[in-house]
Amino acid sequence: MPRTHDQHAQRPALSPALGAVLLTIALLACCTPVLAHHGGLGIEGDLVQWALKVDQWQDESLAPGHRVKFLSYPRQPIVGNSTRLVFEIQSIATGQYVSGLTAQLEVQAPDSSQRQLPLPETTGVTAYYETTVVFDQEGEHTITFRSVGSKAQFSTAFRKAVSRSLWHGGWPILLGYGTVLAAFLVTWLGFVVSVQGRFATVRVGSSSDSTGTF
Amino acid sequence: MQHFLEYLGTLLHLVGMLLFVGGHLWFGFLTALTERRQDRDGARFLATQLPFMATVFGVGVLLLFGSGVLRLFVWGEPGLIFLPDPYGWLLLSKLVLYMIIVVNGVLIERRYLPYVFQERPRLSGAGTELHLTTAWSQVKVRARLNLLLLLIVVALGEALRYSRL
Repeated sequence: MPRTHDQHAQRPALSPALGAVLLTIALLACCTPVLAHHGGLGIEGDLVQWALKVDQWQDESLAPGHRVKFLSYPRQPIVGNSTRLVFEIQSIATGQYVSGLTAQLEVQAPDSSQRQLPLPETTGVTAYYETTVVFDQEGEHTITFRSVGSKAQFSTAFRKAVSRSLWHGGWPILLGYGTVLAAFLVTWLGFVVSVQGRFATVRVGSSSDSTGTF
Repeated sequence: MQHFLEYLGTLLHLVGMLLFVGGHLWFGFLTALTERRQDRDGARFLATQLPFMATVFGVGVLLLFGSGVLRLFVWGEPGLIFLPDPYGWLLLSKLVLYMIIVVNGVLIERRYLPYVFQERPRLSGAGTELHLTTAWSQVKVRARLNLLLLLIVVALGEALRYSRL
């Protein structure tokens, strides 16, 4: 009986606490903006506002009077595959995003060969300059953003390693694939065991666990 | 197409969470209720529903894993989980916990679920009735462990939203 009284005494205090925890989880799940990775790209609709936050930028560099942010998609470029290179320009003095620049992209391969590409501003997204590049060499490339127009002239460079294939890239790549593979195997094992259990004979009253609790 | 797949992955992930996390929450809540109220019939009812719940949880797991991997493939990064960025470590932690949860679920289903009931003769001597065994306690304990791990995974998922790549 004393035990029963204790339980009744605890119940009023526990229920609001449990409710508060559940409410907090629900609020966290429902009310926080989604700042998750979207493949490094803004997605149409409201997600654009979230996806364009700084957390998607992979690198940042200061040029005279300007802050240049950079991302590539995919983040790890592969030889022979097209890669989107995106830049965002911001004025250091005013903090405003700078549109209307005449921009060029210079890509220097590991063998020092260079090529220049036009870098047009993305329609509808202020201060976004983007182009698509197909890398044809493995190794570290130097990617230079160059503003050449009369409005502002500056340049800044970023480095980007290009892999030969999806499987070449060191331990992070292998660990990533290994983890996903292990998760897949565990899921598959669980599925098979579960399906097998459906067809197995239901054993009622095994002697191994026969101490009653109720 | 990519946006559709990403949307589909998110949607299925949410449905999986509803089934798996929501199911564990309700199961934990109801079992705690039966314990507090010493409700044997309630506990027996919950125990009889375990095979159904196992099926629902299984579907939830498949949805969660399938939709998660779908999104990783849509993003198509080498290594899939964005290592060595903080985002990748969080995702790795999620996956490790996910594997522990699945293994725990398999143990529950194979080792304890078939032994939850025991057939015993009635006190009156006429016929038999089903009694809950210690396997039922193990099911509850392990389900709560899974619920705890699930909440950590959900918290890691929240952290992913703010992690810098």
